[in-house]
Amino acid sequence: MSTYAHDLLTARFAALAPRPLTGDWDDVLDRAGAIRPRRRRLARSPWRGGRRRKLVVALAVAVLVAAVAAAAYATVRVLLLDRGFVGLPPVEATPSSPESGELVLSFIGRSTTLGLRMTSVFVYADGRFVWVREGGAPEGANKFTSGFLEQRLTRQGVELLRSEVVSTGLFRHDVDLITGSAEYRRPGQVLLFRGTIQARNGERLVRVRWMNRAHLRDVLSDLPGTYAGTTATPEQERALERLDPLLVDPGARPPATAWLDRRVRAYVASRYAVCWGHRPELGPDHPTPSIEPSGILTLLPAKAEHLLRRRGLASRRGADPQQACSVVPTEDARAVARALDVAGLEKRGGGEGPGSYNEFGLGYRFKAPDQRPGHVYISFEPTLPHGVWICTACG
Amino acid sequence: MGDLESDLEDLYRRRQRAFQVMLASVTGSLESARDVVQEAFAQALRDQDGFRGEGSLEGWVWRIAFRVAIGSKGSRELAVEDVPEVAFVEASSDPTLAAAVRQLPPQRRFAVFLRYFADLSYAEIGEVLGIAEGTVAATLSQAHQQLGAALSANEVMA
Repeated sequence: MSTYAHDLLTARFAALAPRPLTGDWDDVLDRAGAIRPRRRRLARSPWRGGRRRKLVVALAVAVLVAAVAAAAYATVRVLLLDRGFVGLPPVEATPSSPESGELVLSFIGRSTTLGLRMTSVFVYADGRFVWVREGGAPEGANKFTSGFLEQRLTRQGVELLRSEVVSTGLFRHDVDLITGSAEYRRPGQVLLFRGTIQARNGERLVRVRWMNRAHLRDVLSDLPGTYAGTTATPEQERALERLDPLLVDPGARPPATAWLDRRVRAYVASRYAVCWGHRPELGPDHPTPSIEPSGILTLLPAKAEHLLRRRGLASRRGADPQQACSVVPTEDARAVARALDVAGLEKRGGGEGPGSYNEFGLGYRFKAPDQRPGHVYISFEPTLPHGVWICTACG
Repeated sequence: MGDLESDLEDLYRRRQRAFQVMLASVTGSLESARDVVQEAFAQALRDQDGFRGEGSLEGWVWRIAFRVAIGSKGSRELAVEDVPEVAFVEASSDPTLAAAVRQLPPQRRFAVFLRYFADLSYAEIGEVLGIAEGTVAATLSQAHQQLGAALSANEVMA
């Protein structure tokens, strides 16, 4: 049997697969009949010592109130996922609320605190602390990525964090810095590799970017003009070194009182950016894509083309100009993915379903038509509360 | 034992949806499949000594799950001759494929479902069925040939 036929069978079986119901590990434990400590819950419990009984009573009251509220809004089902995922969320999952939010702080880069793992953090005025990191995390989706996760700060906690970042003096105006004068892979050394922090200062989001000198020399030397920065002063480097753990390690800081809900849950987006483009095979001459994004839509299954055209094109600062994206509600993204599944396109990512493998995100590809090199790809990225999306598989 | 329990929990969180999808084709409904999955993992927790580490943990749990699904109480292994009957729960969306799959002998059909619904490798299918990996490959090859003959030339096997 050819790979092509295998993939088509996989897709046709996937289309016939019933939609699974929600799992419940606690129910499994109950059925096992074991009086088992609920390890994870207790580990997160904020209750300590003699106050526990009072707090349990208070909790019981809160649960009663919540039950009454739930009855009043019986049509609203709430399913919060306690670990990350890649691809599209389960149908029953409740999206993060509110749908939109004002960005106060963000970090995107290779964190020195986390061993240069690619990490992104977004903090919103409403308290949401949304993050995703490369590599495993206790509540993560898989060993490759945490998936997008969410915690909640108090509004005071957001301001505490923001003011600490701004107090470094780095965020008076946008600045691009070149950090480090030595090799960035020296063992045991805290190194500023590359990243971008944005912080709200007054009415503006101020951006500070940094790039390691050796990284510029080794990796970007063949891409002249892609980064023009000024050499960071020792004070600026020290400030960036302080900010890295502050933003990427939510378990360490800010203090416990700054958290409204420190529990980690999956961030469930209300909308997805579906992006497509032509990716020629990489080669020494860096071939440029030869299929315009507008021409790719016509190559997709009619249903997918219709759904993507209906929402129009969206843009993102710094995005690949050879790529086009459409931001669609999650239901539409699901319908697009189903259409691509049925058409038998090669699939990567997307969770646990038959024929799929956990990686960084959901994507499809097919061989470029007309004997052109490479592939056409379609990727799915969750949008963040401030309306943007990031490339989760990019380094 | 603590480690095995953690492994079972991890397996459940990663794969319970695939278990449900596959077992629904045995029980006939997702609701009953979910119940089977819950019970199978509960049995695995209760009988951790039963996992001797000779195969994969997932293969062991699949065997428990199928025993629960078909109500088999006897053998510790799922014997080749008592493979469960499997069928699509929602066949109407692809009646051609559903009809072609229905024509397969029980063991081939079961192997196809394990491959495409449970997303198991040949080795894992062999563990579940208690047969060699090469036998799995031969079984699936025969199933593919039969499916190819049943489906029209401009469909899957073209």
